[in-house]
Amino acid sequence: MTTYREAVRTAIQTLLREDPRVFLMGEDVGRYGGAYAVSKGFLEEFGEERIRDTPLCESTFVGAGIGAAIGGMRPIVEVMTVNFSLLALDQVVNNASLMRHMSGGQFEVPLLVRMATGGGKQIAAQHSHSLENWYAHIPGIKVLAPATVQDAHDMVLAGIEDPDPVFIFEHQMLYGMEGPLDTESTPPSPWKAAVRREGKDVSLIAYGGSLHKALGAADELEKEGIVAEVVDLRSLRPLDHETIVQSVSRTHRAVVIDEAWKTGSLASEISAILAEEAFYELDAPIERVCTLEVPIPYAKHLEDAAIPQVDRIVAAAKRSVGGA
Amino acid sequence: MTLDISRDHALELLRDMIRIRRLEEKSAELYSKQKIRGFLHLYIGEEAVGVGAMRALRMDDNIVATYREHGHALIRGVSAGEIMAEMYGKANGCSGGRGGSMHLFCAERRFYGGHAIVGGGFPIAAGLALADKMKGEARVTACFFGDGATDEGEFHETLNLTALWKLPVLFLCENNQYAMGTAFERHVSDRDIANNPPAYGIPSDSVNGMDVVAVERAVHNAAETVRETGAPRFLELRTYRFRAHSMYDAELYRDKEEVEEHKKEDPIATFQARAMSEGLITQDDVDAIEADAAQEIADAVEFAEQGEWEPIEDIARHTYARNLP
Amino acid sequence: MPEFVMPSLGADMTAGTLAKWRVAVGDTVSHGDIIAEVETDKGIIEVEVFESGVVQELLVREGEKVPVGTPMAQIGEPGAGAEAGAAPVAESVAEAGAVAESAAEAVVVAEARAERVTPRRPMHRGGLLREGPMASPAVRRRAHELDVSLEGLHGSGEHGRITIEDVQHAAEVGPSPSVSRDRVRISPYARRIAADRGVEIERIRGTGPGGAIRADDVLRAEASRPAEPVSAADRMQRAIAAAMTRANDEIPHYYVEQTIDMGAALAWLRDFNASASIEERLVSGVLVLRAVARALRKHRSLNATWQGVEAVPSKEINVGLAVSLRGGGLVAPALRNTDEGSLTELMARMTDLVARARSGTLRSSEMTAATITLTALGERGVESVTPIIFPPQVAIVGCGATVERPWVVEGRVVVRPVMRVTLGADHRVSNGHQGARFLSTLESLLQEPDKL
Repeated sequence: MTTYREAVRTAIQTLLREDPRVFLMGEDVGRYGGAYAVSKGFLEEFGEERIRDTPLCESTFVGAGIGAAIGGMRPIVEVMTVNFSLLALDQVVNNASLMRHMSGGQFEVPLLVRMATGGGKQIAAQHSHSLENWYAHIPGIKVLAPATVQDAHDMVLAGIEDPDPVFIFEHQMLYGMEGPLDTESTPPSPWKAAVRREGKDVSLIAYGGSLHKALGAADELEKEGIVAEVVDLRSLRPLDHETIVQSVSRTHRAVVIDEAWKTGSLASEISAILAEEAFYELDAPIERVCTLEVPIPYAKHLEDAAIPQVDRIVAAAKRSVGGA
Repeated sequence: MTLDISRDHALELLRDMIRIRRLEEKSAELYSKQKIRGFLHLYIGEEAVGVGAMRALRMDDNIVATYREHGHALIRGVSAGEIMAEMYGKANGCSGGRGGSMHLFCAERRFYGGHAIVGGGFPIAAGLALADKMKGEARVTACFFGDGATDEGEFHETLNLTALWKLPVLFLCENNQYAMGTAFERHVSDRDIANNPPAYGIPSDSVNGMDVVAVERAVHNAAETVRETGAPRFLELRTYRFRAHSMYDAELYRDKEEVEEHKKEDPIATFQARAMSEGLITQDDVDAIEADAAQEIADAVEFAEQGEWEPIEDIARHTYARNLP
Repeated sequence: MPEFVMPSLGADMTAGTLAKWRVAVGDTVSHGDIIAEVETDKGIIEVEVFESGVVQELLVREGEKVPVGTPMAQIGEPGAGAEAGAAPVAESVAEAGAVAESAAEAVVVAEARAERVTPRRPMHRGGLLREGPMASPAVRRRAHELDVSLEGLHGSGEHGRITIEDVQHAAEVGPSPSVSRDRVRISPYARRIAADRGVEIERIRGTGPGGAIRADDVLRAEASRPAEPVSAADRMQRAIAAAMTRANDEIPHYYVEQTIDMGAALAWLRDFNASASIEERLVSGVLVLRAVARALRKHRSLNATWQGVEAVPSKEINVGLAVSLRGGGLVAPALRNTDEGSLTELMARMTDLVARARSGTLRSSEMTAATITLTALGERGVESVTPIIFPPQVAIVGCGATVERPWVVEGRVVVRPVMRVTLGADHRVSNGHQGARFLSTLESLLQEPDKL
């Protein structure tokens, strides 16, 4: 058993030890030990060349990561949170995602970017965004959302191996979470969703920080005789259509839980996929449980009301299953 | 002051500038005939910068350029045919027809594009230099950009980062006095662009960009310094574009007289005159160069015309390394 | 001759206005000279010419807006002479105008032609032409019920005719733009399992929001469904109703009637039966049947099947005999080749057919082979009948009872056995004259029964 944070740390440490092309770059990754303590001790072990504290210039250090990847290195760029990554969106969208295409296949960007995401700690409106859907929208990059300790470890390794730019979103509420970690066995493909809990009455589809709320909701629902299936998306781009559709084909009802705002969210995308590919399996309208369409409030009771919680998931599931 | 170069050298410089000029003129013609579509940014008037700089850099150095990069690519060694075919959008273009005029790429020549976001190339250049430094390669990453790019945040961030981490980037500012339609004095607070980099600890110089020999010398010296010290340097090349920003530009922002005035400094005409007056080249040489250039361009157009269109079935290629399920 | 055309000066430029010519006819131009000023959204742009030569003709007027690629001037070989110098710009402009006009015309013609590519079959209805998608009124009615628009609906019937299946399929698969009150609210999954299990959606009570039917509701309805036998008679009745409705809707009937003197026929019959064994005895109906069949040999237009847009004559003459069934049903099985064989054979076949019709043991070929139908209601006592054609046949013969009526023979009133025969026929295939001639032939044949 270890923590999510430790799992990420172990993975990066393994890479730094085994592949000289790998280096870590970002704000406060060195002296500070990482804003979320992921890289504690790295500067001492690997030195300043490979653990690079950057100035506060998201656009340029993400872009430099792109350039370094093109140039043959395997950088891990840590953007402190998705909130600050907005400054680097031009480099991501106009360089990282396009380089292979614009050059006709001559150049590739084997870059790994990690960032913390999500809200729930009262760090207020500018620091609580969930913008995974903005990234998942872009062809040319890949997006992962580890929701378990095991995935936190495995996805870093998969991200470095991938020849395309990979963006890993680590929900900031998960860093202290404990869970089992197996570093010996071959990990499953990160690009597939996983059924974390089997059920028959309704599919609860979630990712990242919302997975555990979905599992909590499933516990609640079981007390009332509703057996919910819980699907962890794991990969946000590409989305695993097959697993999602198979689950809903079994249960005939879907509740999608997404901490982003509902409009234009990944929940919307999944609803569209289900409407297209599982239309004749649906016994009820698709439910989406998302953050309310408000900037994330600071006060605790308001923040809790805005972000999806177990009770809203349970209510949605019940509506979906119906009164009968 | 004499040119102080050999006849062969003079011929090469003139040949390269004329090649660029004729390529750009033909591109303009083909654009108005709709063979080339989208945006087209011509280098006419600025040839001395492209030629001088590209000749001064080594084939091993990295080049990051802007959307006004046909000349840079040509002198770097990307064939006129591949450039033309790329502008046509054909599969035999240097970017497979995927990029167009603004996105010429060539891995073989270490030509890293072809960037259309002003200022977008700075971080890439820093990253390429970072990789070379970490791998112990003694390479210069030359980053070309215009005066407009110095307004963008990335310029300042990159100056800071390259100075701080000591990255071998040669910043080459092609100051043609205009950021698209906004004159220099209306978009820059400090009229002397060369003042910026020293604020970050980066040595800076300025050179007359209409003088190809001066350009070549200055870039050579700056590049060698970067190569030796591993630290960044900045060079402003003062130049002027005789044509509009792009093909679809009525040039409301400047007077015809101003353009005509600057045309008197045409890098090709002035160099040719000097070289001829010093007895380095003759009119026959010029005629031969023009004839060769005409042939080269004609062959390039033919190459482009004959090129195939990439099949639509391949549209998803080059999005990812492997097609996703 | 080389031309100077309106150049593309930008990614989104589709047309430009010629602000000013910078040359005149007769001027010499070289590659790169400014030839015109063109006004675009972004302002006036000086445009170069890429050809060298002498300007022969200016095709566009100053102030005129033309699409990119339009020829604007003709550049001739240097020294080609300015023979067009006498032809002023105005003329060429008029020409250009005419060219533009005819070009516009061509576009209009092409568009009109494109519209007419999908021909619309007019439907005859007693002389009235109707345009629109090919669909029978029954189909239209169903489409209205299901709130399905027929416009643009693909018809899978012959010649693109829209069938009821097409409409039903569209109702299931395609969403209708307007919400009909009659439309059932049911989840896709519930709809699917209802179809799989044969549970009629209209009869399910839904417990979902707004009365929507959920899968549970379907399962419940299926469990409580009583075993409901639909009698054969009911099914038949429904089929007849459908056929008759269709005939009435689709076929423009005309009727001609003849009262035929049956004296000769009945006399012959008495004589024949007197010397025949019981099995060989004939009834008058078989005479009429044979006479009808033989008459059809001369009037093939009444012995055909309607196939979508035209009648196809049948090779055989298979008269369908309308037989009433106990329980109220009606069938009209066919006697194949009614015009051939002896009368005795025909009688035997007819008797057998009627018996099997009443016992429900007809062969399927007999149900579908009739090329015309004969309905004889004489036994019922009616004097005439105005029958409805069984589609896809194109005619029907109805006979009333043979009754004694006053008749005029050679100027004197006598009592004769007469039978009223009515021919109902499809006016798309034959007309009154043809019908009348058929009846005339029929009458003649029945005057010489020994030849039948």
